[in-house]
Amino acid sequence: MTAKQRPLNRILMTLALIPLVSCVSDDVFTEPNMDFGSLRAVAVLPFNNFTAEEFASARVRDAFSTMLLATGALYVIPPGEVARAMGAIGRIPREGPSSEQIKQLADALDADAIITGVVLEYGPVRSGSASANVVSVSLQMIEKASGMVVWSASSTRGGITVWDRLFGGGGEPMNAVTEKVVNDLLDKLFD
Amino acid sequence: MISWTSSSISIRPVWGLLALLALLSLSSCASRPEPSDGPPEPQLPPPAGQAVNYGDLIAVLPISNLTGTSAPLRAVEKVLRAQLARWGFRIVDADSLAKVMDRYRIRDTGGLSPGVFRALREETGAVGVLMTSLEVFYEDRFPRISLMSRLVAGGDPPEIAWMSGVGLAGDGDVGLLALGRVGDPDALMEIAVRCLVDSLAGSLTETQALGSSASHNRMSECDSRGEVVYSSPEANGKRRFRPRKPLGSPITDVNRRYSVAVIPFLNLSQRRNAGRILELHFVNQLLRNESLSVVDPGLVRQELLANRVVMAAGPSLENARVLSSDESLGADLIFSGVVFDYQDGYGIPKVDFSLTVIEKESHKVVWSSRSYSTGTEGVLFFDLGRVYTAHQLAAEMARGATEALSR
Repeated sequence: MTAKQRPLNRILMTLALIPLVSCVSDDVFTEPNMDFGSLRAVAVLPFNNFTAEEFASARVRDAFSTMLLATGALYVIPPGEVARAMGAIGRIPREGPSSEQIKQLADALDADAIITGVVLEYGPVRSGSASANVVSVSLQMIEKASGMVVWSASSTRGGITVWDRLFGGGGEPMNAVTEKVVNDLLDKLFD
Repeated sequence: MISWTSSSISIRPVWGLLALLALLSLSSCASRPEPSDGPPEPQLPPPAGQAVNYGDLIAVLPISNLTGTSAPLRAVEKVLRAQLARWGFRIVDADSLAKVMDRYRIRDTGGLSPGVFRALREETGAVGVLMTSLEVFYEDRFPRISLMSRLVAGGDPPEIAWMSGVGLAGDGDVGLLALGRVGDPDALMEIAVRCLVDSLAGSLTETQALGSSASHNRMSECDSRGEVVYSSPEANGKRRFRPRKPLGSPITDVNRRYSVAVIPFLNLSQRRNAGRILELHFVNQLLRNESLSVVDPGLVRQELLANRVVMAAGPSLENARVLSSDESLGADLIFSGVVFDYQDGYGIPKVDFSLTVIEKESHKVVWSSRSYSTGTEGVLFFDLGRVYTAHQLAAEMARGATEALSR
């Protein structure tokens, strides 16, 4: 290798590493036999919170419910109504509701499906002197009639980019990152 | 001689600027009514409905504390009474008011039930009740104060006749060479209360002179310098304060007058009483919409307590059912939401909330939106457009949300 080729190789290697450095990851499952057009109303249960931020799950759930309702494709049962129904059927395990509980909840709320979720990351991440906000969410949709998971997806947005490393800046605001995650999940739901 | 000529030439633009500023200040003064020695003679018969006229006897309730900490409530009330006296308002004396409050065990002065309104009217002769909430009071090097006040006509049912709010920071909108900086908390309190009372007096005199109902009460507001500004109901708020995602179904029937009830927002923020503060901001902004009739927050609270409704997890259809039934308030639209952030301390203010509107007829959510902003968002040069208090920020955001709703 000549001395002139070395810098070029370094640039190419750096470019190849960029997608790895900025946190973008996708996972989606869709039940092939499910007719999603038959769904009219869904209930979004409180998400599990695996982060240190106390109200991270409430924030992400609120953003998801609002933006899902805005699509006009599905009616989202108000959160207070969901809480009332959950109180009536008793304790729901941290791992998620059982098939029986899904049925009871859906009947009480007149919902066609139940959406559960987990907030895996919500807050700033650091690497050296650079820091940026990251949000990672995983969702499941469980159909009332079959009690089966018909859709599942996860998304992570934000994180430290090359720009943040080079010039600082602290990344995007948390709300903006949350909206990106929710938009990504909605894209996966309606694709 | 030469030097004098050259200096006079250089001074000319400065004199021109000063003259322009003087003219501007004169024109702004001219737009505001001035206090007088006593109540003016009515020019037209009192308007129909439940308007409170300038010169009617009003009861001034003790200040409601929404600061989340101890605050000089008596001092604020004293300044408020002094400012009302300056305008010649007739006020129920403190002893008579205290007797009624003792008899009916009134502790929450942020809202009253219809029964207490009736009792106040019968026992003291008060036509209206002035309720004021202190949102923020800091007396550090650069003090801050935020107040929200409303005058409720004590009819059956009671109706809001006027409402306004003010949020000032001593080091906020200080103007040229920081001449507007205020370091004395008492002085800032005086400016804030004066603005509220000027707005009240201006609204009542205009309403009376024009002989129309409460619509003219809804055009005045206090700006970030504590000056009353009059704006047209058609004037739009700033785009950057509108909801990020204008979502859901807008209210389309413009020929209908909707009755609206606002429930205290569910508070998930660190700031105590943020839910009640957002509720007041939305009531204030919704009052500016001519097609809406807004129920007084005191009546909403009374109905929720009477029906033992607790909002533990956000808006629910049960809350809406209670407030929309014809036996209670009969509200067509129920506004509610969740506050995630309300930072009104020193530094850059930040407000983050979601809004949900439930309709009586369909019994469904007809509007849902999310709003979040900071005082420096969209500010690029020299702090132009910066918002210094969470009060101003929340007011602008509530205005943006209500405007988006009526589009």
